[in-house]
Amino acid sequence: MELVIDGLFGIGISFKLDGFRIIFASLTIIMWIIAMEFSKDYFRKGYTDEITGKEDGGASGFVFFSMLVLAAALGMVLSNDMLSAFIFFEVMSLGSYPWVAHFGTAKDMRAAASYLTYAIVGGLATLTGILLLVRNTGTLCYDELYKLGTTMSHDDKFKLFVPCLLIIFGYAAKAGMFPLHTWLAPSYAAAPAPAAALLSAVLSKTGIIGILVVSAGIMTGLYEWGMMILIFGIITMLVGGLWAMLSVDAKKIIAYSSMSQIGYIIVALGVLCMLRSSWYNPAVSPYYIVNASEGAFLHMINHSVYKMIFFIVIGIVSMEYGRNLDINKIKGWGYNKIFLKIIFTIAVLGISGVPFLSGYVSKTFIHEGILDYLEFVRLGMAEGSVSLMRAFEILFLIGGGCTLAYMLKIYIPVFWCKPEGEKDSENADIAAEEIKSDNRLENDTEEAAENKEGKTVGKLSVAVYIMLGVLSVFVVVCGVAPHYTLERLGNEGMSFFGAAQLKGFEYFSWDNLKGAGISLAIGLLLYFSVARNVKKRIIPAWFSLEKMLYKPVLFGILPTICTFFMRICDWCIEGPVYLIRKTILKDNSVEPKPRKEHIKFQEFMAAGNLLAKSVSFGLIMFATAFLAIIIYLLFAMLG
Amino acid sequence: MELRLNSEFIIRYRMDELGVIFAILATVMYVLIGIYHTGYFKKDKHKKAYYVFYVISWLSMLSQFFADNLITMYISFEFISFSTSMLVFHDRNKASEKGGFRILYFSITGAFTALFGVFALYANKGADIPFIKGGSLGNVFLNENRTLFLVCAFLMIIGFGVKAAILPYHAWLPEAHPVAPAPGSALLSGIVVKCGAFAVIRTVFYVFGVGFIMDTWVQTVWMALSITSILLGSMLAYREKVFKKRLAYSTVSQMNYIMFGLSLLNEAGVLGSLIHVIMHAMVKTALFLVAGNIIHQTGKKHVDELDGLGKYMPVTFCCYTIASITLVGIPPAGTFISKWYLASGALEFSGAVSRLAFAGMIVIMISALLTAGYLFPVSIKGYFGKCRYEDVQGKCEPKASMTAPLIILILFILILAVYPKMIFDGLASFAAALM
Repeated sequence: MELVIDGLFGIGISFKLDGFRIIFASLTIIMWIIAMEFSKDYFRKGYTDEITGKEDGGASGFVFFSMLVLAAALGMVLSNDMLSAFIFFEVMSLGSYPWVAHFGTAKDMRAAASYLTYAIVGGLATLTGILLLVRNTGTLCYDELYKLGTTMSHDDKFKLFVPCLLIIFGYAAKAGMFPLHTWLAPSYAAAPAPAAALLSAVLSKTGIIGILVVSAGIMTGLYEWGMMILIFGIITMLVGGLWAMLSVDAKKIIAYSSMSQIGYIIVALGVLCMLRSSWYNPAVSPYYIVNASEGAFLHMINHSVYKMIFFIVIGIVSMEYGRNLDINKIKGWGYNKIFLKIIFTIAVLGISGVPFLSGYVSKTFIHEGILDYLEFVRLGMAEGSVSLMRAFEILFLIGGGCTLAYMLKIYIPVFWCKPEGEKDSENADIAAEEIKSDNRLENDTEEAAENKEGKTVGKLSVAVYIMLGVLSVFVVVCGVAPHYTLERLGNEGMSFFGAAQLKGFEYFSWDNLKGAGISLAIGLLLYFSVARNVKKRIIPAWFSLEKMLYKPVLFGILPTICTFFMRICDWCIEGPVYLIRKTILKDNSVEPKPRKEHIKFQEFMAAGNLLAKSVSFGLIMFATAFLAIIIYLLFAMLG
Repeated sequence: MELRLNSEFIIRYRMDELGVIFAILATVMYVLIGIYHTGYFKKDKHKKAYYVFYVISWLSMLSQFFADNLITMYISFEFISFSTSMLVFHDRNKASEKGGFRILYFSITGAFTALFGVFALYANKGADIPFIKGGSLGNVFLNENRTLFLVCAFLMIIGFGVKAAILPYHAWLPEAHPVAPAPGSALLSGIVVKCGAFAVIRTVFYVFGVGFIMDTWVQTVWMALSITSILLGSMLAYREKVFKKRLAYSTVSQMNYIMFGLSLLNEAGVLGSLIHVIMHAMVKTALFLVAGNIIHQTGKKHVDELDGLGKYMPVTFCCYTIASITLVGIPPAGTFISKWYLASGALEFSGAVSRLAFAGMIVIMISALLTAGYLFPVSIKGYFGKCRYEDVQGKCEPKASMTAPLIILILFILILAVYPKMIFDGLASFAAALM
């Protein structure tokens, strides 16, 4: 079903409804319902705004912008051409800015500024890319771009490399792909928990959709493109995993985990694109990419569900402890909370890819996708080398291991360590003090102490618990019976990937279980060797691409150089006028502001340095005489 | 309407599409800014003199828009310069004197530059030069003395471009705007600068014709100057700390979007320019009215002093935010459409300097980034920052006579953003007819 509204927003927008979009739009709405329900509880204990006198912790503003972003996200998901997708994407990016800036402390504002800069720079890059693309292809409609992707020759596609790179710049920034990920962790940590959940569960997926329509559409089958996406995906996965293992703030661990999981999806997209390059018979080809497509799509769904659970649980913790969630501080928080413990256990095991939970299914598909391509390379049906693909497979398994390691890093201290008796109350005091000092999140000390004894459950509405329960039931059911659940969902969405329907996949075959087993073993190893032992923040604050490269270049070097030349241009007419007035017209009324050098020069002259004066006098006399000689010579020659 | 002084020197008026578009735009802005004055000049002694020149400038502007030949337009152009410089003199202090003389000097220099071209054309033609779509001079006449007429065209573009803030003559804006009263600077940036673009459109498309200027050095230099000015305006606005001066530099860059679009001499570029004329007129007027509200209520002129004011002046800052999003050109704002057409015009450009046009597209994107860089921090700090001044706290919105024009402008902007088709179709067919 298609809907074209001509003339709206200038060039007109178009929507389409197919399996992928229905599933994704429903997912978006479900996630929004859960987050908004949770936000009611989250903001209940908020502060009183000193000017407006509102006592809802700014929740009304939050709700307004959430609804705006919901509309834009749905528009982005449903749109059927690049321009309408881009329009909604930009509204979404700007509308979600107040989420990140919600609490308004200096740190939050820095994170929000970074978020906004990425949104604007990315948006303009995407717009440039779209302009260049439409000039070459003449259309922006997804359906036609998909068709073009199957008919265009390799060289023609290669000419579109730069436009497509520019297009995915904005989308990759929103997804948090590797060189553009620096906004991610600070912004997720700054945003209120429901907003962070939505940023991770839905907004990052819209970025993925942007990369998807380029990789599976116009650029499909271009080996170089697929390889680039694959490499970025692997790096994103590993950097996210590593940083998560080395972080100690629970919210940051979840944020980096999000980046790492996005890396998985990007890997699947890269493989999907590369698999198409092995086409010999276009009629058969949709069958090649089934595994990779299923992997990408199902992991998008699964990751949304997991991140929703994690961010809500972390949000519940932060309702007690304020927003600084050092895992040493929140140790033992969930020891007595049976329900949350069960849910968190399911989510941790699921996202790590333990069999019989939904994460295992999608990760297996992505793994199978990589193996598919490996098989093609081995048979000589595709470009690339076997050893390289083997290396990617191993890195992929290591990435899976990282997931288990960093998840255990939160899970074991928070839910399995006993809250330590005396230390505990001390912690509560510290926590209470910190909360008090944070002027935006004032809290009753008594309340915090009360919560500490495990009575928070009373503060949360039942609805949130029910929703968490439903999400975890979804995880378990999908994991146990993927044939009836995830496979059907996935098949509905396959047309968007240009893939065929999946049939007869052996989910629990020995090979697949072996892959998961290796990954989990690596995970345990990493946990006991690395993740568990990092108890302090060991990554120095200056060690980030943003601080070392992006900020100095974008806000320092480039503007300075540019301003220098522009000032010269600015003076190009005033300068001569000023010069004329000072020299020919002898106009002394236009005194400039006395500059430092000017004053120094006057002081120097007033001080009457004999030597300097006599040297300059001598020079003047010399020049006068020289001039006289030249004039004489000229006349002599002419005469 | 015609007043014949001799066979060459004829004052003649006629209404055509272009004139009507600009005249409606100007009149709407004049009415809105006029309403705004009643609040802003509540206790001003010299307001009567100001109103006189306000109306004179409006009349001379209409005279320019409806002029049917070159000499009438030139005379009206001079009238606009004089009457608007009087608006800048309003405060009667040293700074405003300087700013007023600045605008006067620059306008006269620019007008005389253009006058050279006008003289040369009249001297060679020996008859009246009317405005006809596609060029009234005709290629036969122009090819008689090609070099001279190219110089004429160049001087007229640059000379009339003094109001459109093209590079060598842009320097009056950042000096005149901060010292003029806020509605006056809204007028300067909203409408008066559009007269320059209008005169250039008349010169290029109605006198010389597209074919004569296409692929000549005139087009190259014109395009290069406008591209440089775009970057110059945005860059210096980014570095500027005085609020109104920042907006003035912003006008330099935005007006040169229009000049760049015109210099492309193709349909998409001209369409983009015309949409941008309308959008920029409304947005820049709104921004200066916001600056006026802030100055009137708090007296703060520096960008860094506006922290936290958003809580006390919610309507003003909400309008500011919408206007600044629009000016940056982030979809679905109205300027996104003009930018889209300007950029696609630059990409479609098939002339000799297509690389320059491509560079122009990149510069437009960079300039949009810088626009975000100099407009958004004000609104962000306004909402999320903390007010540092005791005397400012609690100052609330100005009277309805000052907020109402602003809200009406913002409504126009929003309607045009959501459904630009209402102006867009007419402009598109007009731009096609110009070629």
